[in-house]
Parts: sequence; structure tokens; C-alpha cells
Amino acid sequence: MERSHFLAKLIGPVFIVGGLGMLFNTAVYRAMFERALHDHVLIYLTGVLALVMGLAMVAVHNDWKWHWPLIITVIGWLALIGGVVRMIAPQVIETYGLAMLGSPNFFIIDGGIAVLFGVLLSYFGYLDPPQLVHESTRRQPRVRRRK
Amino acid sequence: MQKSLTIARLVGPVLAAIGVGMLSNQATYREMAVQFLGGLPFIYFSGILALVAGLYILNVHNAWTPDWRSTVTMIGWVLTCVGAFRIIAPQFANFIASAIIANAGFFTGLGIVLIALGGFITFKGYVA
Repeated sequence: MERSHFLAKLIGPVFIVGGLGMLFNTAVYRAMFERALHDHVLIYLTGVLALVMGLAMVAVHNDWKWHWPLIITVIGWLALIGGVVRMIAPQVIETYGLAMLGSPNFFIIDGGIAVLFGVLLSYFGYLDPPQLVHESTRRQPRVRRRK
Repeated sequence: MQKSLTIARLVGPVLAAIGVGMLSNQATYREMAVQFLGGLPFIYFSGILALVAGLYILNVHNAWTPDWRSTVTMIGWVLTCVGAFRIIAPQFANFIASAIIANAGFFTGLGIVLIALGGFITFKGYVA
């Protein structure tokens, strides 16, 4: 649980900031992503970073229980798979990425989802509501019995 | 204290190396900066890296003690703010940085600051 909180503290604000950029700076983001998708070296480098980050996350956090850290596990696996695809076939990312950018609402939807998950992760990471902490991970106080 | 030392041992030499590069190789650094600022995707991805690095430092080390460790915290805050700014408005980061690097003495000044800061942190991390 400690690792989940730490990773949530890192990932949450990054998602919020990225999502806000997509929502409020859509024209610049569209031009920037179109340019990035034509650059295979850039796709490859982001793939290396995504693969390393994904592997690190999956190695330290691979919790598939039905509670909020599942979001972090899924993000770790998505980063890992995304990194592998970017490295093996950057042209596939170019094709699919440009097709997705063709949708006029892509950044609104993507930014909204990113902000939503960012707020959720930041909430769990920084505020740590005690009633949502998984019971099995709580330390039980030791009780000494007198003989 | 151990976390401060670990971060100082990583961050100090990196800052000092960048500072030495800026002072000894100014023409190449200026050309590199112009190329970097010409492409918004580079600014954006460097923003993600800076934000993650800054948040990491602040989450493991957010101490404002009256000694050298506050420098590490300050670097964490600078990285976080710069990273967030680059992600939210890469075009403004481009605009501001282009105006700054147009100044002839920029790389000399920043190089000296980075060597002083990196040298100080490296000294505290490895020697003191």
C-alpha cells in the first residue's frame, strides 16, 4: 500500500497537468502531436521511456485486487505494452495516432479522462482517506498479555 | 538525511556537468537550444520528465531545514513548476526561452550558476 500511495503521488499530478493542457490548449496540442507522430525517432525514444517506466511499475506494483491501486497496475501494464509497440513498430503508432487525432473531440475526451484519473490518484495518494485503505494491509497493534 | 545524500549524489554531478558543457561549448549549446525550442514535442516530453523528477524529489524530500538540504527541496520545486509549465503551455515556454537565449551572456551566467550549485551539492553529497 505504501508503494501504491507513492506511485499515486507521482502519477496523479502528471495526469492532471497533462489533461489540463489537452483541455485548454487543444490547438497547440494537436499541432504538437501531429508533428511528433511523424517523427519515428521521437516515438522510439518515448517507447524506451514508457517501457522502462512500465517495467519499473509492474515490478514493484502488480496488485490485481479490486481496490484503487488497480488503476496504477493497469497504467503500469499500459505503459509497458505501449512502450513495446512504440519500439517494435513506430509506424503503427503513427497510423493509429493520426487516425485518433482525426476525431475533433479527441483531446476533450482524452484530457477529461486524464484529469479524472489524475484527481482520483492524487486524492488517494495525498489525502489517503482512511476508510478506503484495504483492511488486510493495516498494521494491527500488538497486545501484550500479562501472565 | 540519507535521502538528501542520495539525491545530492545524483543531482549534483548532473548540474555541474551541464554547467561545464555550457561554459566550454557555448556555440553548440546555443545551436542545440534553438533546435530544441523549434520542436514543441521536445519541450512537452522534457516537461513530463521534469515534472516526474520534481515530484519524485518532493515526495521523498520536502524539508525546509536551515542547511544545505533546502537546496535539494528547492531543485524539486523548480523542476515541478518548470515541468508543469512546459506541459500546460509549451508554446509559452518556447516564447520565453527564445527571448532568454537571445541574450549573449545567458549561457555564461547559467553555466556559472550551475557549476556553483552542482559543485556545492556534489560536495555535500560525497565529501561533507
